[in-house]
Amino acid sequence: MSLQRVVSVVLLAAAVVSAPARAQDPVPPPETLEGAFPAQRHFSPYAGRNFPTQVFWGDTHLHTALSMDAGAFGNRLGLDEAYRFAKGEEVTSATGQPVKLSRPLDWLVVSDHSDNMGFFPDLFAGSPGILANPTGKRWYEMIQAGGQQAVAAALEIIDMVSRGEVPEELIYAPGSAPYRSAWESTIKAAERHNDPGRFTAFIGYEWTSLVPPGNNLHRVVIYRDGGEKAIQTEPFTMLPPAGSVNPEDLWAVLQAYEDRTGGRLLAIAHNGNLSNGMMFPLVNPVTDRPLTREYAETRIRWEPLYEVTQIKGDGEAHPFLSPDDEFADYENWDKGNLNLSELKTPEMLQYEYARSALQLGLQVEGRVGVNPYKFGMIGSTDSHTSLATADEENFFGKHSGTEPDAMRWEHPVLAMGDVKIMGWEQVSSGYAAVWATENTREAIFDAMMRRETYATTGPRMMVRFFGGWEFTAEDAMNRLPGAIGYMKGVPMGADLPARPAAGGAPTFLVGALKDPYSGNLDRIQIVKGWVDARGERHEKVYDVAWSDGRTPGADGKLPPVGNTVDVARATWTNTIGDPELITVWTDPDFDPNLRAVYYARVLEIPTPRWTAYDAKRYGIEMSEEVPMWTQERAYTSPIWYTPGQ
Amino acid sequence: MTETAKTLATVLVALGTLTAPARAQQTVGLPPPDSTVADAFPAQMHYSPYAGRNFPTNVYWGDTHLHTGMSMDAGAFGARLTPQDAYRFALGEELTSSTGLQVKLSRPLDFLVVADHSDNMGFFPRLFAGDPAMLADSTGKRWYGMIQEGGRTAVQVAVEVIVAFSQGTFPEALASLPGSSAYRSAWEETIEAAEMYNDPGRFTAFIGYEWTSNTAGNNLHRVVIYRDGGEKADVMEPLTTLRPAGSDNPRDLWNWMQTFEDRTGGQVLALAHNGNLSNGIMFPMLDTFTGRRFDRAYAETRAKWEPLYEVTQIKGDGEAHPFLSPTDEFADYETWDAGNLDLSVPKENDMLQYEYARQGLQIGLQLERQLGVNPYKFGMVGSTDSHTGLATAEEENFFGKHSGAEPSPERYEHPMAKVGDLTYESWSMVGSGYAAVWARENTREALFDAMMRRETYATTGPRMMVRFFGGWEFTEEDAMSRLPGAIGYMKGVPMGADLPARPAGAAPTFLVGALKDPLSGNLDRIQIVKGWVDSRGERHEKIYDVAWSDGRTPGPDGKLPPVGNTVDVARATWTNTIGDPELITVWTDPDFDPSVPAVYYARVLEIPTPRWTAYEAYRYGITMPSEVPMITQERAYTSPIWYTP
Repeated sequence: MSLQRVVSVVLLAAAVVSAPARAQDPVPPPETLEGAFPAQRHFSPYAGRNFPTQVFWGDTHLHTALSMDAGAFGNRLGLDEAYRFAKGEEVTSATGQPVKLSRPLDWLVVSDHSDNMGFFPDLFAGSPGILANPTGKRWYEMIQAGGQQAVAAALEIIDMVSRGEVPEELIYAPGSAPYRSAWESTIKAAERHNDPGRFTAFIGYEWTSLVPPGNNLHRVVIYRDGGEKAIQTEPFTMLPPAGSVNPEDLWAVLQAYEDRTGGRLLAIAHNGNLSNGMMFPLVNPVTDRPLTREYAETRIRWEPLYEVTQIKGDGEAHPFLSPDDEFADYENWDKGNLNLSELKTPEMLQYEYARSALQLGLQVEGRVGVNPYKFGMIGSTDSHTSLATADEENFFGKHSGTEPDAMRWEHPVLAMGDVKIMGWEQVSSGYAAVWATENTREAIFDAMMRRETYATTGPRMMVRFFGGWEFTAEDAMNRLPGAIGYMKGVPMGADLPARPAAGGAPTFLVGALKDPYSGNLDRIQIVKGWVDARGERHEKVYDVAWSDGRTPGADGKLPPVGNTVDVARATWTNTIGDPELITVWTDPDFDPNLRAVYYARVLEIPTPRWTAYDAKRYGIEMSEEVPMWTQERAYTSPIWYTPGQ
Repeated sequence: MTETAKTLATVLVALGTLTAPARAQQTVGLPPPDSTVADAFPAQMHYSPYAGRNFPTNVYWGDTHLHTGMSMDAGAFGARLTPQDAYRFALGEELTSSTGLQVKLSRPLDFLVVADHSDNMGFFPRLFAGDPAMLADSTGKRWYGMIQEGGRTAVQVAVEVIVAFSQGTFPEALASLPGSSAYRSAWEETIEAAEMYNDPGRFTAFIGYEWTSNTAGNNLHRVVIYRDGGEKADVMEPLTTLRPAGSDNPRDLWNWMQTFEDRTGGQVLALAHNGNLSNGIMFPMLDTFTGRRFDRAYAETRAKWEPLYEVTQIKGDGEAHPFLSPTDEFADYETWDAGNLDLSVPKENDMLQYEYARQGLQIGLQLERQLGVNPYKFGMVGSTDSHTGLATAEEENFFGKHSGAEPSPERYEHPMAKVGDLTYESWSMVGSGYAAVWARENTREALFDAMMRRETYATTGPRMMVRFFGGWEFTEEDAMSRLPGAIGYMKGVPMGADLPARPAGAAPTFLVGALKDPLSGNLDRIQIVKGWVDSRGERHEKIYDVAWSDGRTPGPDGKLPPVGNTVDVARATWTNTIGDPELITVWTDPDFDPSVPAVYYARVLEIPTPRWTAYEAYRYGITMPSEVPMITQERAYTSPIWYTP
């Protein structure tokens, strides 16, 4: 663009901005302004980059002892331990084991359950309010006795909570004094550990909607704000009378908070796989009517992201829904709802997994004009140990009862009658990657709002994904894809710009760098979802870049990358796969008349699963059904195409 | 014996040893413990592989040798950046260079030593600021006027200043000499900048200076680094070279260092650089200043104060020379061997052996036989010696030796320096290097102590991670673990150390591994370079390829075929489609002779990548003469491990 054109663009913009005050200032002759617009192309390739150049790693979903269930399962680690651990310090776990991350995280959301928040730490501390109640006193004595008595107390408490029989004085509900102190502690800990530019401690909580008989509609709520705003209201709960299990009620509460404080919030759902078909519905289960435009607008206003992978199952895809995708059957939990009170039926699955939900969103948009499921992707742990561990070689489990020991693999983590989910089925996953300009609450929250994020199952591969209309093969040759990506296209999480009049199919610049400590890369795939003219959902998975110069077979499938895992020693070699992959891909099947959504999936070569490390370290042999290696992966936020936009 | 009993027995033996001199008294006040204290010694093997690691697990990256506008030559060549600017740049901030270019590092550094020349420190900033004391002198006033005029007239000042300084006609009233208030201010400014930016745990700003011994143009420069803060560094001003206060003899520098430590209780170290410009006096066999054989005191003193050598920097790589190592196909790397520093005396072949690190290490073994102490028992670091205030060592972001050699379409064809008819061509500047330090935390104390124990390595710019351990019982299996540090420290000693005493009949084994810099080239190979002195006192060297990429097979001559080359010079880019992201192995010396001393270090080579000249040609659209190299093979050199019979 010539200088002349730059100046006229600027002047045009100025004219638009100053339109209401047109008489204000006369326009200077353009030639006098030249010196004020020096060229912005620098020799130093790192100077003048105002786009996000860093990935910040974190966990949006971590529980401490303040969560009722975490406390009941034995977690005694509080908020400070959770932050210290995330910052890379060594702590001692609830079961007495020293533990440390291989590398610090950049940020953390402590998201304790809002219902009964803070009850267990008070019970342990023998707080006067609890001891004043005879039941509370009895529980305290059982806990003091330790061992089986303490376990019996925990089980009794959980049972009474689920039946709503807890004495009123012992219920930690919003409005009560002990609840207020729990929330204050949560806020103060975040304020203490938030260190702008170095570590971000978000204020947050989990709203734990469990729709009878046990369908998971949980949401994590994250604050952009500091304590001065967050303290003005208390978290939303699900237990009546104050709470509700209906997400629409949560959204109303979020709106009320923003109206009152001028602050900003977002909510992230997770474990659609345990919702038994309720996570991404076409019909609103509350009204039993098709989703309305208002529902779609409200949901997408508050829920820009989805937690697509975590300890209780990976939620990207399901083999029943994607029978042609040989990587879809990855760490799926599909036996039933959250408490296994209702078994899974195949027709529920389409409303549970991210890939189909993105397509459902296109369908709803076709009908009501707004896409309620226009979400980006993150991974998180949902760990209840205060320890945000997602690395296979350092996995501390779902809760303190499943911290490392020689038997954890064979004990059930969930059981209802004969239906069980065994310890070995826990997924050591995942983390949230955020492309942002700096490590602050504001910058990371804003990146989440624009969905410039991706999920990984633990490893910290760096992934770029841009969409546009004019990327060429040459653009993949540059070692700084960000500069070209932002210049010629839009990043992950965005809408494709308007299609040029000249036509053409969308092009994507996609690249990945391996995690230096983890496995090499197997391949990058682009997953396309679309809705045809009859409103039917479709998907296709394209291999777009892969390692080792492999050639796809006659069926178009790329041969597997191989496997170097030495299960007995719980190790592998990076002698297959590549350290980096990058390409420009053009959709060969593009139909400009149809809505479409594209995201990238990056696969590592096989590496040992956490069960292999357990087997080696404890010298145990696990049964044959237990997988011993895994193929870790990343899922980017999508890029959307809308006809006529 | 049970495990507990064995542990206790070990403890008791240790206590016995420690208290030996007081054996007749009670051991340590209490009678020896019995087995009841077993619980006080819990096992230290944790499930979390990252817990309980007390050895260095982080590599900290820095530059031990950076000049700012405070250095007289830097100021004369146009550097206007201050020590504070230099720290801000190293911390990753974007700056405007002295020639007006925006510049930023790709990644921040972890530490920096601002090492301005001690002679005339702070002269140019004072002249620029129109310091009243300067304007009071007629020459000072004239120079100030010329500087104000700018352009060629100002350049003339620089020429006059340098000529006057080197010819000893510099006006005394203008000189910045130790003891003067001007000098004190300059030193205080240096100290204050370091104190301001030193941020324990996050960024280390070392106090330091360069002692610039240069008699007859032969470079014997040393950088001095303080472990201490300003309260000690401020007690004495730096040593200069100009008489009467200064000296050009390294022994006087060591005396100065001893005086500093005696007086303040502080700690300092010195590291030499550019033996290649010393014309045979950097690692001499005879005392250059007396022509006599060294005494044991020389060896002891030098080894005490100079634990490290700066083996690679902008003015040439100093690891090896092809004349000395004719069978090493990688020895001719960015060699500067035209003469001494000011080119007043051309190089002769017999000088070379006293100039390069590889021979220096062997000469050290020879001198150790004579004197009983090895004066050249040094570890390796790289640094920039940049005079721009900008610690740039990456090829794609190279800001040159001094502000006259910052990026421009013409810099490659202008001499970087000219002495009579002899020139240093700008294109021969080396985009090198950085210092890597294995330490437990990022503080002055931890980094300094790691330097003292030589747990460091040099790179020519990229940040590959390199581990190198020596011992007697490493086995192949040890290279299979993904955490070589844990095994390395347990079974051996790290880079910079002496092999432990030899068990009967054994040959030394080495665990050596490297991870690529994620943003740079893949790895070609790891080599171990062995130097030794035979029973007749003759020096020898041999290079072993010990780990390499792409499954290559050595040829009949034992040489590994080259890794290949993917560099696209025209586009200044390459692909990581050859080479490996990581290499690791255990190597046993096949030619070990237990009766002679030996020294081993590792050299790690990257695949070919574009040299800085290629980026320059591409960005400015220029064609350079065919003699200008466009491709480089970056590398790392570890500190050695020594064997003494």
